[in-house]
This record gives sequence, structure tokens and C-alpha cells, in this order.
Amino acid sequence: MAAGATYVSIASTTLGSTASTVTFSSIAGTYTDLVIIVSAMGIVGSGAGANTNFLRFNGDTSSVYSDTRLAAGGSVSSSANTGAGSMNLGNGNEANTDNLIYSPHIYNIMNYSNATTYKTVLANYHDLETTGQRVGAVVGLWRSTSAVTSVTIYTDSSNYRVGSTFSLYGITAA
Amino acid sequence: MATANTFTQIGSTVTVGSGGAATISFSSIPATYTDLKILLSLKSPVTTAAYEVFGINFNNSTSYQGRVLYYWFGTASTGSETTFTKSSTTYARVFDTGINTLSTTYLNPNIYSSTEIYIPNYAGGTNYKVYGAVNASENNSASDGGFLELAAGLSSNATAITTITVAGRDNDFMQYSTASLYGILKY
Repeated sequence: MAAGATYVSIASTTLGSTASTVTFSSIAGTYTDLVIIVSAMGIVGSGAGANTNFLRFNGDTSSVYSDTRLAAGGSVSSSANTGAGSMNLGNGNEANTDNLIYSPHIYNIMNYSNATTYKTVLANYHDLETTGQRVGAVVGLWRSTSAVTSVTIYTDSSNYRVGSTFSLYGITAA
Repeated sequence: MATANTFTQIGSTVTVGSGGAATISFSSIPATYTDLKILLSLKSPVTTAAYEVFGINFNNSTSYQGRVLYYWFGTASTGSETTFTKSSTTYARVFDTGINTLSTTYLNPNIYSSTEIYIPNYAGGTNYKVYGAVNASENNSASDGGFLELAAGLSSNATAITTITVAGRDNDFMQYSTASLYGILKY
């Protein structure tokens, strides 16, 4: 028998003022997986490496994150981080001159509430402006068995522009 | 407070009939959701090429730019994508190898490509419309046929999306191709 509602909006933030960090806290453990949809634009900075998005769980800043990235701009590149203090989910919030382009990113966090396995993230990022685009895929790891109860997303080189949105959804297995 | 039932199918799944279809469209899309997701299972009748180029159109817009990352025959490549025109309509060229064909050189005739397209804030009136997309096919072969594509693109048009049309550049969609549109509502 099919389940009932299995895709639930947990929380969403639309920035009314610039910010460099967005946190979803007090996340219930009642879902199976989490999905985060980011639609963001930076204040300054453009080009490869500009306005990278990073992710942390439960406020943990210790060196227990790693990630592997495959990206395409003018060429294909791959990169990785190990022993980092946050998860690098790819550059992706171009400060476009017309202020009309919010780049979309999708983060999938599987089995986030179990207390026995390390937590993984599967992400796609799409970095857009009218004069150049980049696209990439990322797999990230948080080497902690703690259940995820909060997620922090932040950018490195500038604030997120007003109107950037961050939405958290819960998916329940049937 | 969490809000349930935020992933909703809009209209019905379109299944292409025996005559094939040049395009598939969703029209009169309500503005009551936050984001849109499109799921596609597509095949083209061409037998002389392995793949058909895939495109999308929002509200008959004409200006698109995009980027694609694709992996095929063990090699990853990238391309900058613009547009193609079919029956006087301009389409964003989303994927280079986005639609499976009947070519038996590369792909089993029964395999349809699988595509997901995500469109955030489609109903806003002050933002250019953007999409992120992934497309794939598996061919049970270690040497040929399987492919994976990731794409990003934008339409330089801030009008709320009410109509979406998808098309192959040179050929129709075959029978049993399907397209489904979903609305996602944030809290």
C-alpha cells in the first residue's frame, strides 16, 4: 500500500537582508532522508572558485569532513578535500550584474538520523550567469555517527544576496 | 512547523501514443507552488545516430545559456550550450546526448533515457528562470552506450513560467515516452 505524505516541507528561509550563513536547527529525526534546495546569489565575486557553498552538521567545526567534486566550466576538473572543517559543495552563487539570476543547488542527505553510520551528502550545483556557467556534482562525508539535528550552509567570499532562498524537506520511506 | 503534502503532481503524466510526438507541453501551470520538477523517460526513432539533442522552452522565450557536463565512453567532457530552433520555436539546448535513439550500435532498442529537471522559483516575476538537470542511460555494456549528463541553464526572461515544452532537436519522441510535472511547495 502506498504511504501517505512522504515529501514534507520542514523549513524555508528567504533572506530579507544579506547573510553569509543559514542554519536549519532542531531537525526532527522522523524522516528517512533530507533534501535541501538552495537558490542563491552572491554579493560580490564571479568566476571559477567564487562564492563557494560549504555545509556543516550539528555545528561541528572539527576536521571530520571530506568531499570529492567533479565540475565543468570551460573544462572538466575534479578536486577533493580531506580532513576539512566543513564540506565543500562547490562554487555556485555568481554575483551577476543584473541581479536576476539565483543559482540552484540540490543537496541530498541520506539516512541522516541514524546513530550508527557516518553521514553522506550527494549534491548537484549549478552556477549561473549570462556570461558563463558551471555545473558540478559532489559527494560529501561527515565522519560522525551522530544523528543530524542541524545543518549550516555558508559561503566563503561574500554574503548571500537578499532574496536568496534555502528550503529543507524531509522524505519518509514508505 | 512542518507542512505535509508539498510534492504534488500537476496534471497527468503524458504518454506518447503510437504516432509519436514532436513535442510535449505542459500549459496553464499554476503559480501556487515554489519550485517545479519534471521527470522524463524519452526515446527518439532515429536509427543513424546514438543520441538526440534534448531541449526545453519556457513561455516561448528565445534567450538561453547553459553548461553541460557529460560522461560517455569513459571520458568526461563539457560544453557551453545555447539554443536550437524547431518549428519556429527556440529551445534551450539542455543535453547533447539527452534522448536515446533506436541505434543498435550503441543502445538496446528498449532503453529509454531518464531525465530530471529542477526549476526553482518558477513563478517569481523578478528573477531570470534557471534550471538544474541530470540525464542518464545505462546499456549493460562496459565499453559503450551508457552515459551520464549534468546540466545548468537559464532563460534571460523574468516572466513567471506558465508553459513548458520539451523537444528533440531533429526527431520526434517515440511511443511510450513519458513526461510528468510536479510542484514543490516550501513551508
